[in-house]
Amino acid sequence: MSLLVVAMLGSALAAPARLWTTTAVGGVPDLLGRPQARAEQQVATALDLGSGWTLDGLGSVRDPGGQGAPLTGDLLVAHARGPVGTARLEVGRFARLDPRGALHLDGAAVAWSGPVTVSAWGGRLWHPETWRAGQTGVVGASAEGRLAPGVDAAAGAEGRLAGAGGQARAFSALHVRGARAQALRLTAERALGHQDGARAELCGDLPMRRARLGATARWENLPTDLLPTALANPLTWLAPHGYGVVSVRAQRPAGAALLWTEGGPALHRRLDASSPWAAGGLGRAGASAPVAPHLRLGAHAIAAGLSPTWLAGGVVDAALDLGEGQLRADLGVFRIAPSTGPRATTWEGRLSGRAPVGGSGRVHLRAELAAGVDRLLQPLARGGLALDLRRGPAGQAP
Amino acid sequence: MTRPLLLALCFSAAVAAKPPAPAPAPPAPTAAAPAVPDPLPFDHGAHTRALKRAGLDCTDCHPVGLRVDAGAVPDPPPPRESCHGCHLDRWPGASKAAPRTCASCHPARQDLLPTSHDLTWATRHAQAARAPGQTCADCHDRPWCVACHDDRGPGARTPHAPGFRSTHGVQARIDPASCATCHAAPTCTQCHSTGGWPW
Repeated sequence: MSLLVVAMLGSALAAPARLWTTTAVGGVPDLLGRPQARAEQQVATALDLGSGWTLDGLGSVRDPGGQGAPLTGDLLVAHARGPVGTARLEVGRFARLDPRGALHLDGAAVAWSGPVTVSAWGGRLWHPETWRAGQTGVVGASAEGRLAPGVDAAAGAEGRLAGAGGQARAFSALHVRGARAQALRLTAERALGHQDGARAELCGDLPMRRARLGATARWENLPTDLLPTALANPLTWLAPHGYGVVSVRAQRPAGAALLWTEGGPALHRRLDASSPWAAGGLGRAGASAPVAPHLRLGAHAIAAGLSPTWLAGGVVDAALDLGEGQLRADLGVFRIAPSTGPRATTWEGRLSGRAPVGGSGRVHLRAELAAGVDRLLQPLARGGLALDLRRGPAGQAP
Repeated sequence: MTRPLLLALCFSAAVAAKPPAPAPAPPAPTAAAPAVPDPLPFDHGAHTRALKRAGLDCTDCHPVGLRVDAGAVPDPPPPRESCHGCHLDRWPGASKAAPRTCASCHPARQDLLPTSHDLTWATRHAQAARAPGQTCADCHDRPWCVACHDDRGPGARTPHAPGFRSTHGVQARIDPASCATCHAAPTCTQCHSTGGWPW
């Protein structure tokens, strides 16, 4: 795979190229005693190889300032895509879109689009935050097609293999879209083998004349620990036996203001607790409105909990947006009952901004100040400055 | 979890379907629209009748410099906005009967991915989305944005609402899969085991 990417890169030396480099140098001194500084140089490239092929690459060199190795350099991603006859081939480290979401694949995928789109893929999984590939090998295939105008369906199967054992997965999806952008999506996935599990989601959206209503219901219990532990996601230890969550959301403009609310219940299965289920939920509501040119104010309240933990509080915030320059301020106060320890009142305030330096639009100064009291009643205060330098095409690429 | 799903399903709306029957005299597109098949399956007569019912006339699709020779390809061809005005519901009063079926003209869904949406797009999309004339809504609907930017306040620039530092513990307990869309274990342990700040 890498050889192909390197070979294509070599053939692209004389090809039209878009190239971005971003340099960030800054410090985040914790005013209470944990000073940090970090420097990072990131290079991103998108080369037009001709004949419909493009090559994307992303690499960085960074000094994390006391966190981890003192100096690290990574070729984070190399990814080529283009047509092969009537099919389309992708190789490298990329996110493959399928009805379940994004499958982060370090390998290859091919798709043929006809009356039915048929796809196949294989490689190793990687994580979009760490950019690291894990040990889980995956191979799969799917078919997607239109059942009727506005009705699409997909089905696929996948095999996964890691050191601990193998796993088979099957998934299906249905998407219905109305003439006025009403949408209904149903996705289901089942895993069998080394670990059993299932995930299902039903999501609907109903735009009306001015308001918009939406609802989502999900059951989450897909195994995640076929990946190395360092890449495991929070689901592994926060909800190891599965949970369901329902969320209803609505928003409506009222004059220049926007009113919104969302929330719903959650139910977690706990096999190791005295009660097999833990109930909870989340509710939020807020409003925002412009109060002057470029200045918008807002506030929202939140109440959330999952037995025995809960919190309630509110935030007011303001945003001054002058295009290239922005200034944000927010202040939140919360009453929190943690799973261990006494109830506490916490607060947090932030002031952050970003301003252009010079007229090029490619140099910006960022600053942030934050202070508050955390749930352990420990005061916090920090501030930082960073300078962002960006070279390459400004704004959206052609 | 929902953001990539929405993108996938958005594209699934553009999944290749059985192409409409070719029109008797299809106008061929030019190289200016590489994602549109050549010849474009297009029934000019049916469109003319539908548009007249909606109160539109020739110049709404052919705004400038139309030269019509019998049997010839319109020169210049209608701009993309002529199609998207109705089929993406971007014109006030446009025909609601126009199906929003991307696959009619774009049978290869992968070709709909703009070249701008490369690996750096996640960090660059905000500026483009604010620009006048942006075309995000051609493919993405409102829930697509809300799925990540669920904080609708004035500082809605990140997926996390102001105050999230104080509230994220409970929110992560309620719906940890939503964290896993972007985050892995190192995000948690960076603060919870070392006391450091993610930056």
